[in-house]
Amino acid sequence: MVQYAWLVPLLPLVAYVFLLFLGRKAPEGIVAGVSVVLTAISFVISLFVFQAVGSHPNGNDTYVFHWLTVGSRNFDVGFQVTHLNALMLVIVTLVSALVLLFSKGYMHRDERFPVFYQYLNLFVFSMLALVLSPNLLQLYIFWEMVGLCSYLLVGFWYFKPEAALAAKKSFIVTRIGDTGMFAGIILLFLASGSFDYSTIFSAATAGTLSFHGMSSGTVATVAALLIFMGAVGKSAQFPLHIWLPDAMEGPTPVSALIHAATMVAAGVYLVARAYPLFVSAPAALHTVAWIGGITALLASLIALTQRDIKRVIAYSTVSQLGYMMMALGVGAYAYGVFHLMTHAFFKALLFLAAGSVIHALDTQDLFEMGGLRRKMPLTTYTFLAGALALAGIVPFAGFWSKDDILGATLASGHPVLYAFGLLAAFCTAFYIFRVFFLAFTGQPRDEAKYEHAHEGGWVMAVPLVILAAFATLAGFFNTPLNHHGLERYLFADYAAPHSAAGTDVVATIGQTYPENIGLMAVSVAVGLFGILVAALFYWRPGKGAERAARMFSLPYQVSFHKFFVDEAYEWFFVGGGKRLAALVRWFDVYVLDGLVQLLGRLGSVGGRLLRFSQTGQIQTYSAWATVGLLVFVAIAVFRIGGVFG
Amino acid sequence: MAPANFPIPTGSLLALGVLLFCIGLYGALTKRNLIIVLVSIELMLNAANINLVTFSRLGVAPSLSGQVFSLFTITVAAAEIAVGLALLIAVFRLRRTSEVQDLNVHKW
Amino acid sequence: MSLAFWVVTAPLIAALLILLLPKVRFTAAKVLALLGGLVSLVLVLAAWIGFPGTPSLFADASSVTWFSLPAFWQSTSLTVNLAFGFDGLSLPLAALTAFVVCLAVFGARGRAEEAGDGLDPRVAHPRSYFFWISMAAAGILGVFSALDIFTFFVALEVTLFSSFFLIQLFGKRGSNRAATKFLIYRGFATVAMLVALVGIAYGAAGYFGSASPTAITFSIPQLLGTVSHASAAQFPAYYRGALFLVLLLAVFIEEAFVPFHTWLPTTHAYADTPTNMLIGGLLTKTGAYVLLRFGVGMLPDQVHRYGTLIAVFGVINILYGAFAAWAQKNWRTLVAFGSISHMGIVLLGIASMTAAGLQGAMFMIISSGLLTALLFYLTGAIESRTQTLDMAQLGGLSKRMPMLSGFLLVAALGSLGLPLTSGFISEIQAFIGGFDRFPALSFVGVVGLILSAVYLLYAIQKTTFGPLRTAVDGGPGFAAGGGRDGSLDATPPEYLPTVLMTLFVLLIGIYPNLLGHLFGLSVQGLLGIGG
Repeated sequence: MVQYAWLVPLLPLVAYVFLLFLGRKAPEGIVAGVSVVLTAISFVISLFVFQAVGSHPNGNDTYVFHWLTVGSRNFDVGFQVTHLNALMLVIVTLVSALVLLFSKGYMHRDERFPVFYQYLNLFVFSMLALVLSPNLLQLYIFWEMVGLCSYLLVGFWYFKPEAALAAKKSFIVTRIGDTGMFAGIILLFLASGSFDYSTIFSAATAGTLSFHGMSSGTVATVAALLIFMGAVGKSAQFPLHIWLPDAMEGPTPVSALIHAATMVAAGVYLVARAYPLFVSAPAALHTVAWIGGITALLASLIALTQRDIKRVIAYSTVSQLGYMMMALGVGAYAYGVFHLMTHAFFKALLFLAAGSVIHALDTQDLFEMGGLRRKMPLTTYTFLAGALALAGIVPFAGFWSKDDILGATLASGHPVLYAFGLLAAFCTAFYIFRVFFLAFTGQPRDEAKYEHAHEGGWVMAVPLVILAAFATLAGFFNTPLNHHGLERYLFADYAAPHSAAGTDVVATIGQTYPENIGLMAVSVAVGLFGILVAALFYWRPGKGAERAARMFSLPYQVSFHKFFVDEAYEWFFVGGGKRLAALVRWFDVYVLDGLVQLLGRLGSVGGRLLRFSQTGQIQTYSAWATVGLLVFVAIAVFRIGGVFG
Repeated sequence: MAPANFPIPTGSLLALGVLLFCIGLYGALTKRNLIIVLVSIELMLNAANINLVTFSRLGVAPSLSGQVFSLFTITVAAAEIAVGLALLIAVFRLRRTSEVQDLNVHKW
Repeated sequence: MSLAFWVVTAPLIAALLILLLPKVRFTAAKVLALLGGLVSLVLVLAAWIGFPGTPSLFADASSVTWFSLPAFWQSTSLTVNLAFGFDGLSLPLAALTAFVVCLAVFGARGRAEEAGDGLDPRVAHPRSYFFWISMAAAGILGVFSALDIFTFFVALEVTLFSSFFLIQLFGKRGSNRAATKFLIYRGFATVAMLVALVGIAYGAAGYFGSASPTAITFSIPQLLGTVSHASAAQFPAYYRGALFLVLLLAVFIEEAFVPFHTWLPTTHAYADTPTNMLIGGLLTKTGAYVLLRFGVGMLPDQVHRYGTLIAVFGVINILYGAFAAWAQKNWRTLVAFGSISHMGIVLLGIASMTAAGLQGAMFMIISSGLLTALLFYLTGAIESRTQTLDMAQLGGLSKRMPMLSGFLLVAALGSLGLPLTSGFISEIQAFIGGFDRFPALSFVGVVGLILSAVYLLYAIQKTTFGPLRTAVDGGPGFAAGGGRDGSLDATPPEYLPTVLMTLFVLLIGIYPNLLGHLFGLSVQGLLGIGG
């Protein structure tokens, strides 16, 4: 089965090409139908692959083809199925199929409906090909391709100036990270002689990376940090988190698929995929943990005060991705991936439910919503499932994964990060239930819009229900009840004797942390407390929230303005860059070209001066000619300067 | 050393050539009238002819070729003076002048 | 006669036939020029198919003795040949040239109606227009396939004056100054190159050494074999270094490297679209070709020795071009500075003198040629509808011209080095080379990747995204391109060049071995000689 894994990305590509040929006027039913069916088949194949890999623990099956020869080295492309990859395939295809179905309702009657599906299919293909990459080069290629799809889809409504700006911003900000990653990949290629994961890992763990006389550890650290830059950009970690909330200008299914479940998780996936490298560079791993922790806290604080429903969820995504990074950083490899999986389900669910609301109300402002529980019960209860999962309430999916992470953080000796995580958990519970109460309970704040509200039909309901089921139950893939099945599955990648990594690295990766009932209770309590506070402020319409905002005016403003990070960047990087560009232009036009013009001017002035020797008197000319002749004759005769020997 | 049956020494002939050339050059460079300038050019040509004839008697294999060449020069000079006079007349008809200084259309 | 000979002469014959046409209509001249280009293209492809896979061998070489100088100041007689042929480096470049020439000619059109400043000169003088285009084509093909220094110079001079006339006669109003600037800059470069190359030929024959000189040859294949093997006594390092620096100066001007680049934006701002395609896509690539052919091929030790200098200039070019492009208000000059930035990457790759770096540089020459031509073609097509390429006056073009805008986006993405386009595969190889030898410098250079995304996406966002601007909608120029249904999108004849160029950008990106196996041979040859 594993050797057919290439079919998984191929089917969406087929769908893409097919839609490309159908053109821009294709009927919506065919477009959506083909896409959903092909992706669903991909999902089924992924399940088989997942199953097949699980049965033999050393299944790093790699199939490569020669792509390009460079000197004595080869660049290869191909596919590789590891346990991690197999899990990712399942997550990506499942969420993709559901989002493709949901979009049929959400994008109904959009002028560029087929184009939307083209882009989505291209994205699904790229994401799957990214996951299956056997080497860093191919990963980078599809890493950029998913970025491109994100750019196209964020800017899908290109005629909106905000969408145009957001698309540009998302591409450029992630490009900053990608550039670091580009350098990191090249560094690893030069130091180990190959782009292949296995070659790099064995060189890194054996300490045989060599580059310009740097020690292997230094090379590994520098390369890991550079590669982590890519992950920071893609997964919207601090300080490159600013693009993700703006990316909400794209259609909501895009936010669910790309900016919640799959693409933004690619950064986490990358760190997980390159884990042996990070483990052999402890400083880099430490950085990952701190960046993750800071991001988790910062984003959750910003999410507290946002008014736009999608932005709240977007900051929530940033924060949850921070959790995953933190987990990887403190050494809890399996928990980071586990949280990636549960988050994919419940965050896609939250976005799709929010999409359902936006579709019904045609607004994203929380303060124009309210009371939707009565009109949209299905959306309400599925959103609630997602919110409970996000808040980490027993037994929803988020509880298991988040709690594992918090427990591992404390157990691995990072009390500060644990505090960050706990505080973020409180904020998370608060902001998501703030959204829930504002949107679904109480009285409608905008009657006209409320009247108009309705559920979106079965194409939108089915994905919500399925995802709600996963958001509720996915946590049970990795609990003491099934002896941590997912952990054991993931660790099989590094099981002896086929692991490329050294033994101590494997020991680090395979480290497990026992359940701690006390900590579990603490985090659930924190979550419940957050929900309680949110309920106090927002369940019944009242002035409590406004009063609190007034009372804590400064923190409120700081949170509402996203810690002024955007403004700082705008002033420093964008403004600075523009000023520098203007300076270069000035230098180009006035100094360099000025010099050139000056040379030209010198020529013309010189010519104008010499013109006066042109008297028009032929006798003057011949007199000068005679003088010249005499000079030469004199030189010749008196051998001045040794002429003629 | 000049041949014995030729009484005039080479130096005198060359001196004559130089004198004639200098007079011609002076005339060509300073005289205002075009006709005088043409005449001066003739003087210079004749100076060259004297040199040709003089040197034809000298050298390893003295021959008549120098004298023949001077005949050529005289012919060419005659043709040249004809062209020169024709130009002069054309200029005079056009510009009503035969002064060299007046012909300065190429000034600056 | 070999294929290479006919590849060069086909456009030349076309040019002569255009002169001989009794009565010249625009279409007739265009068809003849196009035929010349197509014949070249077919012949290049035939040569490609029959190319033997051995390094440092010139296939399809042919040589005609042109004239011979008797032993005069030099001790032996000097034979000057008209010699053409291909190796792994020149074959893709010749193919690119023939391809772009065909599309440029195909895309050439003039404004039929009389505008404010009189009849379009292209329509008024089609004979001269297509004659000079064909001459320029023959010249560029000659430069890339010449196997004799003298032949090379003749071809280079042909490109010089034919491009000059194209800019001067058929450019925008005021193109006179641009054409003069072009001529002076590149004329100077040609002279410097003449000094360097003839110097190399004399040096190879031992004229600067202490030993007694041998017979001079201008044959490039022979020189490639002898120069780098010549002993220090025969060709002292001092002279090699001096000649290399002169050559480098020539290359810098030819290639429009900072600080000798100011002719390029001016030229592009004034020349018309086909001329821009020829100059931006092909002519500016001759400099890099010269550096590879004569610099790396004949004076590899000097390239090594001055490697840091070249790499520093490469990085300066990458960043300077990118920042300058960011500040541009007009698409044409933006593309011009973008191409300067690209060529900086070429310089970095060459400076590294590694297999990856050299191969990346070769890829980048092709990639930048294709993308620059494509960008000029597309912006030209847009300009013919909007009458302006000033970004402040454009906006929301996607609405009225979805296909043109889409292709513009693809071209921009290729240009910023998105994977699966030719730009990426070039950049990564060149940077692998760069990091291998100059890690710190390359790290600075990599910032150019961010900047290229910045300036291209800014331009795209201002031009094709956003709401449709009134200045674009219903301006006077719209009459020029309106289709049947009032749509302003590309017409079918306009699609063809766009689609073809885009296809090749993608093809090289997806299947780089297409070029890789040819370039690989050439790199083997170059580094084999370089030791």
